[in-house]
Amino acid sequence: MQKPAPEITKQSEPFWQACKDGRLLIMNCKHCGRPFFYPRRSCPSCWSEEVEWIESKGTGTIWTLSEVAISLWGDAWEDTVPYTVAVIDLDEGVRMASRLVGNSGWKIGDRVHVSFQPGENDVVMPYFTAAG
Amino acid sequence: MFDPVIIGLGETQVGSLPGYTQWEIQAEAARRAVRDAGLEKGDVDGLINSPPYSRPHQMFSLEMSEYLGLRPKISLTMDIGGTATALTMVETASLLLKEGRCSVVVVVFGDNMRTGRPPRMQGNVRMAARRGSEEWEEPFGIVGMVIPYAMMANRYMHLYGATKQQLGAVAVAARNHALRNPNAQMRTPLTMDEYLNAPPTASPFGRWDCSLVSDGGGAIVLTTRGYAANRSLKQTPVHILGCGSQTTHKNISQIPPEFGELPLKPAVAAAYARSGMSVKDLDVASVHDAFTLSTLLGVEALGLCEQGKGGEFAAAGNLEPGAAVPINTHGGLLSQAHVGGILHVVEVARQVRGDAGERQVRDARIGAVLGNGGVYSVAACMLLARG
Repeated sequence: MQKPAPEITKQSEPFWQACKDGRLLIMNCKHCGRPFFYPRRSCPSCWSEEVEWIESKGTGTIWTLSEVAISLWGDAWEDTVPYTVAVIDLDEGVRMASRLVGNSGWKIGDRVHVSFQPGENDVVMPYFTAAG
Repeated sequence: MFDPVIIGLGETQVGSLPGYTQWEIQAEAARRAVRDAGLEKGDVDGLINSPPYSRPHQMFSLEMSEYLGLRPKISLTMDIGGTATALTMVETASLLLKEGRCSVVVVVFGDNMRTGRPPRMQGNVRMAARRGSEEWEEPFGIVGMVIPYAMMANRYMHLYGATKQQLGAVAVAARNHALRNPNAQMRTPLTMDEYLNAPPTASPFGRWDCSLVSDGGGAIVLTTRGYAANRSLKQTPVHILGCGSQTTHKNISQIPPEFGELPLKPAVAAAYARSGMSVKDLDVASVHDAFTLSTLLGVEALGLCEQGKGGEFAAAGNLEPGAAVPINTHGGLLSQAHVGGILHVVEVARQVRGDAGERQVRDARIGAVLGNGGVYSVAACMLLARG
């Protein structure tokens, strides 16, 4: 069984293209000024359609995490376990789900920054790694 | 006269039902519930069901009505999430009855997640979401439901200092209830040592923090107080005193900033307000327990203990058989069976009508059902009372 690759839409394409260029994009509402993630065609705060891509600094804090011990989607993750996933609060004020790579011993509250890694189907994935 | 009442309960055997399809399981639960009420097929003029997760079905209420030879005035399929689905189906039935649109409504869910999943799917069933998870979670390795809930458990333990033993108290209590339920998948005791030494799934969870994978079904028959008064029914009616619900998000990355903002408490507050009841009135309760953490959040939201104190509450034995308000007396999703949550409603209705056999809570008159779906994304609560 294959690992799932992101199901990219016309609207989200710039995000995944930017990952290939080593940049993490989030969205910003030009009307109410609030950033948001995941990307949408309208602002979830005020419904304005005046939304734009902005570049995130790619830094944030671990809100929570879990070390996954078994493959929970058929056998797709058997070659990867154990791996650690996390919910990251980016410094721009948006939340993002991702995976932690590079070292170990992470805990809630740790500072992390984005680390672009090859994923399935030639997609580049924005994972996170310990700051410093 | 249009007050909705529950007059029939149906429950199939749970566990493994090889050779049974999803619709056969739902049909059996529906037939059992109508017979339990003392009614006949021809009395039913409304059907509400939830589609199976093991294989996607469209127009499932039509499929069910046709299979059962019903011609209901209203047929609906609803999928909100978890026990919130079961509760919302029952609430919707009660609203249709109040409006006089139907006289007798059957609410049903059943599935065969244990034996009926597509070949090679040994892990979780993939939730077919069209937004959020398939692009922003699954490719990162956040697949299925265990992992998001495990992340919530780590956050909860970090914030409130809850321990693995406290989560274990939930699993052990659920098993102790299941031992008193002849229709439970798990019929052997679970010790704290066995819980702590179980293989890990996603930290902090091990095997017994996670609910069972089950075949099975449940159904509930509702009518109005007026209709019930004019028919000779087999069971004591159960009154629906009040319901409440709240939605906040779907995917874990969109979860509200912290635990206090989850939808559970607003759903409970609305149900208490509409029923004129409070936590002091409860004799028994069932709370959605797909994972041990959920039971803690459930008893906190019901007001049985303070927010963040659920672990201490569980470890002190307050979920167990014989407690002041026993929780999940059927064994719950953790130790009876995971049938969406419909059996949480069936169980509390059974308890308040005084029909729960050896696990009957003495003098139980008022009970609460609290359910959630998604990742604490939607919550619903219902207060039931003996008629």
